Amino acid sequence: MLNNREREPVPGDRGYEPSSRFEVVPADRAVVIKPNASRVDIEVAPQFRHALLQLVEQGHRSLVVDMSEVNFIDSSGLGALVSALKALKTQDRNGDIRLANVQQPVVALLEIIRLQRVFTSYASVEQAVSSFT
Amino acid sequence: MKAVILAAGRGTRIRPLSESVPKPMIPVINKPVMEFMLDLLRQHGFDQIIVSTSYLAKEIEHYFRDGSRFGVDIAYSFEGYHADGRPVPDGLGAAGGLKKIQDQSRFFDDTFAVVCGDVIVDVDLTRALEFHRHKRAIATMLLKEVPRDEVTRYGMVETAADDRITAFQEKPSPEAARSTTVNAGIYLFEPQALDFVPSGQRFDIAYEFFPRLVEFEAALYGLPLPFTWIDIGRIADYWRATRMILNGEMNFIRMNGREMAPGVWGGINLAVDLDRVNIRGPVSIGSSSRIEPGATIIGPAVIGRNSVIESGARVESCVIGDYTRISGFANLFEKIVNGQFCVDCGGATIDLASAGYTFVVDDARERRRWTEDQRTLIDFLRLNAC
Repeated sequence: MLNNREREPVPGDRGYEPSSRFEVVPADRAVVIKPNASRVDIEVAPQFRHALLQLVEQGHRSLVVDMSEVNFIDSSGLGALVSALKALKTQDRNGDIRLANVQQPVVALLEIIRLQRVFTSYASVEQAVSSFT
Repeated sequence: MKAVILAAGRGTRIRPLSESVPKPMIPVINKPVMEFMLDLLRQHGFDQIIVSTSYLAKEIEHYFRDGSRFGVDIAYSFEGYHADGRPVPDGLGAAGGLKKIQDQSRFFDDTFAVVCGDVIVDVDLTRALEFHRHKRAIATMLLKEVPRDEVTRYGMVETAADDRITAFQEKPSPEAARSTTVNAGIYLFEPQALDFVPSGQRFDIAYEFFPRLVEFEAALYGLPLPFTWIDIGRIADYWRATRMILNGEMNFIRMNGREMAPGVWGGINLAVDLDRVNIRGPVSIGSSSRIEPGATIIGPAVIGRNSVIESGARVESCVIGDYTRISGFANLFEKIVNGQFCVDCGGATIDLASAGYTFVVDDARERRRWTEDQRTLIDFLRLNAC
């Protein structure tokens, strides 16, 4: 949650502690970010976007979003994913964001606007990480 | 002849379709489900019809009015009361509602029919009347055979060799079921049957009235007939009924509108160039709708009235409600879109408005304004996903 500090620590900051909302775990071929929220909506999306963009700025080009806790994502949450993907592709055309453990209600929302074609989904974090060669 | 259509139910199992309209008004192929029953009654000579209403009664009254448009006389019996200037639904149960009508006007003076307003059937009511009179029944219940593995959903009816109903069994397991015939929600009565119903109190037809008739050994008969019977009770049933009608499996139902191309029916005032859309029947399109060039509609599908399917949209095996805009980003498969809700055919509901998906599905009359996130998505989808 945002509080009275000047700015919320983000992944890569000294003293960054994974907030209750996101966990960031570096893996061998990708960095994994996991929203610890069942809803990625207007409340969570600004921090989600910020966290994703920070990872891109730090030079990560292979991102996996672990969606295991998420059963609802609204247009602001999808906007955060899309903004990060655009930033990533600007840096490196081969960079990508891939999804893991996507829950059925989220799959339905992605399919309605064909975003499942853009964000490839995997059944597990391990499979998503391994997909980056 | 006289009849009553039971239309007082709340329709909780078919939410969100029953959120803004009562269950009998839920459209099936752009026609309220109760209208199918009205057509059937008229075809068999029932021309004085009372509709018992409660929940969202005005919706029903405003559509059917006095019945003259449908070739019958219609009156209404509201079950409820007024408080603070508003009607408050307070259903009496189907039998209690019949008794209320009889107590008020002695309306029932000969054999009369009682039917549910939320089923689609092609039953031969004339044959049922002959059976009823031949048996000298005071009540006849039409029965429908169901597969044994479906008995858990229904109230089962047991009959003797002479067709007299002897017992009921509520939602038994397939192993415990003593019969596989169910109450189809279509009845014929003599006025004296209502002597078994107490005045001024709630009295259910299936759980109280019929068991009482059995208890007093009244002449209650069951008539098993082969007929198509679809109860619009759940989303899956609704979808099945829609598909069956579109696929021509319920050939007693005529499609509304004109057949513009093989398997494609449309109302009047349509804006569609069939040479420039990818459309594959069976599809029914309501009046005053617009299908933009480049849109794809794959049947079985229903597009409601005054709706817009934009260029690039793909709608496959869907029911799209009235006044609905489907944007060019949309890819809908096996969905029922009703207002702000999108329901898949298994019943899972997505609240599109809460998801910020108004840029995908919206009221066709809404002025379009996007949030920054929606604008980001729209720009991205135009380049990447369509």
